[in-house]
Order: sequence, then C-alpha cells, then structure tokens
Amino acid sequence: MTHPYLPLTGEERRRILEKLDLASPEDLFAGIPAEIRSKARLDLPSHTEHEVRRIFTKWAEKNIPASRYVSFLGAGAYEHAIPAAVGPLLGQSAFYTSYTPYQPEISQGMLQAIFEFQTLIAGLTGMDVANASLYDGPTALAEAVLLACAYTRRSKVLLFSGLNPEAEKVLHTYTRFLGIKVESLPYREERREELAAGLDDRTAAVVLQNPDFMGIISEIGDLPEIVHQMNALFIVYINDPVSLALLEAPGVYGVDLTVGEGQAFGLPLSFGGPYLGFFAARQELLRRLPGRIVGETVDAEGKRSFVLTLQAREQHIRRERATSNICSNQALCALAAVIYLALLGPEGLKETAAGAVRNSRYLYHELMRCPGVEPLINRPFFHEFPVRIRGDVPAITRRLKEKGFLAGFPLAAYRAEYAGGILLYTSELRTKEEMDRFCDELEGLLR
Amino acid sequence: MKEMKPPLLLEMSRPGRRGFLPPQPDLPGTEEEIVPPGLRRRTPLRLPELSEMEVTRYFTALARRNLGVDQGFYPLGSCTMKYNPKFLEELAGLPGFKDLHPLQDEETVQGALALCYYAERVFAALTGMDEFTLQPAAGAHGELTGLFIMKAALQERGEDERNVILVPDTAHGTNPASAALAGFTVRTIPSSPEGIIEPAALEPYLGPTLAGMMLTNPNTLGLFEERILELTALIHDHGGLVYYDGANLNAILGHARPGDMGFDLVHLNLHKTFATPHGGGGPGAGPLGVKAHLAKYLPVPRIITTAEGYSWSYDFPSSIGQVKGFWGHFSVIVKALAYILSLGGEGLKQAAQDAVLAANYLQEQLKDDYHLPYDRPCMHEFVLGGVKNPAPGVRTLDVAKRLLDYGIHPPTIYFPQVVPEALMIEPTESVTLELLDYFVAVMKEIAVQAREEPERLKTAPHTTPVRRVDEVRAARNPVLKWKENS
Repeated sequence: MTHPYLPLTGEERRRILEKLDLASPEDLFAGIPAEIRSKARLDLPSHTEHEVRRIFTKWAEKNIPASRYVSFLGAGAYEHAIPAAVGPLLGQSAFYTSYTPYQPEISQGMLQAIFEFQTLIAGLTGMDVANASLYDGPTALAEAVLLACAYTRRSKVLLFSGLNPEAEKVLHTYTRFLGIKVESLPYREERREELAAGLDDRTAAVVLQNPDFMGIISEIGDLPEIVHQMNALFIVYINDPVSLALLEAPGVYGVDLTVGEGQAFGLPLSFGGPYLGFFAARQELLRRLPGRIVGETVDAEGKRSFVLTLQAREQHIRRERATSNICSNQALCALAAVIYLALLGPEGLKETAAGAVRNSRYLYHELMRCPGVEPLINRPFFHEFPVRIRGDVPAITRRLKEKGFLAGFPLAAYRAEYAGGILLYTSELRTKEEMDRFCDELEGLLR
Repeated sequence: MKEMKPPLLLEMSRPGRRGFLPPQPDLPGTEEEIVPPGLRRRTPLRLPELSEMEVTRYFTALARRNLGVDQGFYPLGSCTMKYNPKFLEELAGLPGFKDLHPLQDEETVQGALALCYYAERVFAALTGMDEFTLQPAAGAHGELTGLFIMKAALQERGEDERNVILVPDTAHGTNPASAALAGFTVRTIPSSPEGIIEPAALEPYLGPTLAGMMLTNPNTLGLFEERILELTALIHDHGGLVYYDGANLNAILGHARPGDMGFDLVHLNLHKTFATPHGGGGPGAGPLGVKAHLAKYLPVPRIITTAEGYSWSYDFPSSIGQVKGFWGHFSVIVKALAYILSLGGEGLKQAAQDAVLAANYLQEQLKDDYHLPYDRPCMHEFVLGGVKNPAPGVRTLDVAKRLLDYGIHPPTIYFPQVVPEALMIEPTESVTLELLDYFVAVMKEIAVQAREEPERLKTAPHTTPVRRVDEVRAARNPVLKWKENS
C-alpha cells in the first residue's frame, strides 16, 4: 500500500524481508495466536486529504461556535482576546513535534519555556514553587487534595461554597475509592461562618475557589491562619488566572497550595480541551509535588542550562510510591500560556482583567434596571455574576440565542435553590453596544 | 553563525514596552473603582514587558534549541514518535471546532458530538472493545480511569477484599503508580528468560485478593506475550479483570485486537498510535475502552443518540463519575480520527507492519555490536543491552549522548529495568530505508568509538546548543524559577 504517511516503498519492504530471511511480512506476526489474528480485520476505507477535509468540514459546520455569537458564557471556560502571534509561535514544529525533554541537550527550548512558566505562575500566585503543568484545573485540584491528605495523614476535605461543579465532580471521583470524605460547606454570608460549620482536627484541607464559580470575590484574609490552627492545609482554586492581575496573590495570605485552570492564558475554548492545569505550592511541599519540574543548572562548560529535576518523585523512577501517576502533561499548553503572558505583559493583563470587570459592572447595573431581573447573591464579583430572571429561563435563553446571544449558564442544574438563575460572563471583548442590545432584547422578552 | 543565547523573559524586560494591546472597552471606570480595596493586588505583577518583535525572536530562538520529529530521527522506545501530519493541525483549527465553548447547548454542537460518537465507535472497532470514553487526558489518566472502574466493579460485586493488581517487571512506571493512586496494592510479576510472562508466574497471586492484572502487549521488550490467552483466562478464572496498556498498540493494529486477547479494559495513547503530536510532553489523550460488562461504570457524561440527535447523558447510576473537567482533549481526538480515516483499515495495518519491519531490520544489524538479550524477532521495538566490549567506563548514557551529535534523538535508555544498560529502540513506520541504514551506520561507528575513543563518548554531545548538563546540581540545589540577581 502506498500512502503519504508510509514512506517505505514496496521494493524497500521486499529488501528488508530479504535481509531478515523472511518470505512474508506476516511471518513477523507469527507469535500472535491464529485465533486472535483472524478477527483483527478492520473494515474502514482510506481517504485522500481532500476527502477527509470534506468529512471534517461537514462536522464543523454542524456546530455554531461561541465566536459566532455575542457570548456571555463562561462558567469555567473563559474566552479572552488571544494575540495573533501566539498561534505561529506555538506552531513551530520543533516545539510541538518534540517529546518530553528527557534529553536536555536538545530540549533547551522547551525546558527554558517551562522554567519561564514556573516563574510566571509562581509570581502571579505569590507561591514559592510551581510545577510544569497538570491536565486541567479539576485534576490539579484533585492532586492538591491528595497531596494534602498524604501530608496531614487525614482524610476529610472541606469545600467552601461556590466551587466549580466540574472540579467538585472530578474530586469526588478521585477520592471515593481512597476513603477520603469530601464535604461541601453550606453557603453563608461570611466565609468564616462557612468554615466554622465543618473545620475540625480531622480536616486535611480546605478548598476555596476565588473568584468562585458564581464570580464572587472573597477576602482570604486570615482564613488560612484559622485552618492552620487545625494543622490542615489551605488550598486556593483559580479558574481564570487573568483575575490575578487585579486580585491579591493568594501566597500573600499564607495559603499552602494554589492550583487552577490556565485555559484563559491564550488557549482556545476547543470544546473543553486540551486546557492547562497549574499547580503552585509553598517551598515546604516541594518534594511532594505531582508531575514534572524544570530546574536551572549548568552544562559541562558552565553555561546556564535547564533540566527536568527532582524526578525521584515521579512514576518512571518511584513507580507505585510516586507522588502521582502523571506522565504526559500539558507542556504545549504551558508554552502557549508563556507566549500569551510574554505578549500581554503586566499592562496588557491588567487591561484585560479590568476590561472584563468593567464590562461586568456595566452589564449588571443595566440588567438591574430591567423589570424581572434580580440579583442572586449580594457580594462583590469579578467578571461573572449570577442573576435571577422571573420567567421561563430555557425559553428566554432560546429566544436570545435566535437573536445571536449566548445568554450565560443556566444555574438550575447547578443548585436547585438557584432555579431561575443564570450566570453571566463578560470578557473584555464585549462592547457597550452589545450589552445594551442584550439588555433591550431581554427586557423585551420579560415584558 | 554564532548563536545568541536567549536570556530569560524577565531579564529582557524593559519598562514601557508592549507586545499586545487588548480590546479597550468603551466604558468609564478605573482599576481602583472596580475592585474593592481589601481584595486588590498589592504584590507587584512581575510579567515581562516586551515588544511583539522581541517575543517572536525569543520563542523562535527557543525553538532552534529544541529537536522534534520534524527535525530528525526519533527512535524513542515505547513513545512511538511517528510523523505528525500537518493536515491534522489544519482540521483541529477549524473555527467550528476551535471556538466551541464546552457548555454550549447540545443543539449548537451536534457536529462535535457526532464526531466524538463516531470516534468512540472507531476506537471500539480497532481494539475489539464495546464502549469507549474520550475523557482521559493521557495514557496514565486512562489507566487511572480504568482502575477506578475495576474498583467500582469489584465493590459492586461485594469483593472489596480484591485489592492486588499484578504488573510485570517490564511494565511502564505509570502502571504501578496508577494502581496505587486508585487504592490498589501492587505486586510485580517477573518475566521469564524469554522476556514474556509465563502463566506459572501468576500462580502465587491467584487468590481471594486478586483484583486484576495490567499488561502491555507487545511488552516493553518489544515481544508479543504469546501466552496471552492463557494469562487472561487465568486471571478471569480467579475473579480478576485484565487491563491493556495501549502504549504499544502501534505494533499490532490490524493484526490483533486487545479485545480478542481477553482484555476487559484498554486505553489508547492517541499521541503515540494515532500520530497526534507529543507537544514537548503533552497534551496527549488516553481514551478508554471496556467490554460490555463494564460499560455501566464508564465516566459520565456519555454521548447517547436520541430522536433529536446526539446528547450528553448523566443517567448512568453505576458510573465512577467524571475524571476530568468537561469532555476530554477534543482537538486531539479530532486529529487522531482524521489520521485514522486517512489511512483506513489497510493503511493502519500496513503502518504496523512497516513499524515491525523497520524494528527487525535495525535489530538484525545492530546485534553484532550491541548486546541483544532476547535474540528473536521483535515487534515494533527492541531492547539492546549496551555496547559490546566498550572501553572501561563507557555506558549506555554515553552512547545516547553521542547520538545527539549525529542529529538523532537517542532511544529510551535504562528502561525496562530488567535489561542492564538498556537501549530501547522504536523506529516507527515513519522511516525510509536510507534513514534506517544511516542509523545503523551511526550506531556501528559509535560502537567503534566506544572501544577506541572512549573520551569522545564520555564528553558527548559536542555539537548541541549546550553540553552535557549537570543534573545532580539541579536536584541538590533546586532553582525552579527566576529570581532577580540570581
């Protein structure tokens, strides 16, 4: 068979067989029991590039991407402006076709980029160290909780109200077979009150998402101190790290772990993946970190070099005693984040965050003037907020969709008590005109 | 041309430079007004201030200091570094895929759901399994998902005491690590002098605590587990489940299916077998397939078909739950499916055959100069036990580093641990005969150097952007981020 992805020609295959003193290539598979081999035929035709493109274009055209709407949908995946330079720089094949940088001499590019990633994540979160990435935010949180349970030798974890439901669900799966109890704290006006409802000397860790799933910003203040008095760890979960441009770094408050979802740093929405888990910690926890870590060193001539380090934590060395089973991570996504942050710089990231927040303030105030729209939670929010609509939410969002709006995330499925609620996200991409039009349409539908 | 060594971003940073101007909202308000004072960031925001040109040159310089499959031969054992077709990137970048929000209502994502549903069917047909989940983010994540499913199944059977997972001594490190993370106890099974697992080796563990076994087939020595049907039957007869680590599936596509070997669960490494790029360490994707009897435990949500079209369903009460945010590495799945449709059934079979041909061609010609501990035809990879009769002190690491001077990425080294001084070589099907001959010539030349010019090897590489790096120093005094004046 001749195919562009199969360089060997028929003649070359024959020559190899000759060299191996074999009559047929099938002889190489003679060790496989015949009853297995006879079932393996796969009935699937091959296609030219053009034909495959046609098939996939047809699938793609059956979707209506968020980019074709005026979108107010966030709820864990956040659209932000992605500089045009990210794509071409990320698309250099020496990056994306390379393997994990186990051979540092020919992997300095990727190693240095990951070192930059660790530097920037540690700086943004105010933590001492960061790893090279994990699969996504939810799995990073699960790893953080497992670390906390191993470190404290305890098996109870408390979740402040407002944790992203995706993260909560993944956490339940990761912990259910290990005898770890995950308890959700009930919503209270004050975070301290929430904490008081569950914290005790069996608690391994407490998890606070900030801003939380509903967009609410919390004052972390002395919460970690209270948790530390019980010798438990304080974990902050961040779903859009663009927020760190304006909000105080969690490390300042003495939290133990700051983990989260880095998709907002230059990655497309891509129907939910691949995204980017980040994981940052206090120095003391360094040797318990999951996944790869890049360190600075020198080469034989004394030149600054980078290399994967502290590998004794990892599965390929430590096997069943490793800190995690992770091998492949999200290196290319981490590279995208570094390119994004390098382009945005401090001013760009602040403007991005401020733009999104300013938009959310505007939309909120405009919506509050619509009869039939009410606030759902009265706390300061970041670039996302919940409102309650007096009316048939599914019918209303459907009508708005017809008008070209993705009207946020319906909250009824998230918490029964939020029935009638929707969660609205405003990125810096939204304009006043779009938001005015949205309010007008909604008002019309509620009249 | 002398290369300028790129400094780090924060070292290049100069106040006032900009690389990107975000959209500026046409609304009033200052930072001070929009975030309450008690919550506002006071820690300086240390991000680089650079122009777009500097950022472009920086990452272009970094790319020059990296070696991918596009830059040269990459015979890295167990990693299947085959060519990543450019076409796949184009398809994944279609706006109808790239700009889909994961929480859009089903009506607006019917194409994506159809694609995923079809991918599940194709993966099932390729592996001989019944049902698939696309959620796992990588091979190890697929393993973990599979082990959770095994736990759930055993618990539902009321057999909580079954907590021992068997893994061969040649297994990938992820196998025991995943088993431990799922709450199992790991027991290591020694492979036979022929490099495979003999049924007798399982005997000591075939008791009431047996939960199951994880196996790679062909194994990491590149040998097909010829007693596979007896092994899987033995585990089943004693109440256990059998997990197939799909890392080496490229060897047997179209020739044998894990489902027909008796495996209950299988993960795929799309970034190995199905040509999606490794990305410098990820993202991969590790879809997991199971036989019908385990389907009810698969992660939710699952894609179902209804009168209205495709739909997410959480209505699987025995499900282990969700293992990842949202639905999986969608763009990786797009690429893998495009690769499969391009080659078709015959093409995939031919790819496996070419990969096996290439590996045997190399093995045959290298065994005079390198130890070959298992001297029999291999599958897609083989393991050498270091160079023969080297000068004192020359090790496999030196051979690997010397290969870099020839523009070749070294094989996997010191793995599997059962072979001293191991060099694990997997050429894949992405080779020409000239390339194979070049590799043989280089390896033979290095073998001569190992005897006659040991210093040349021990100080290799000589032509790379940096020379051999000091790993001990990195671990002893960890510097894990840039610090001013460091």
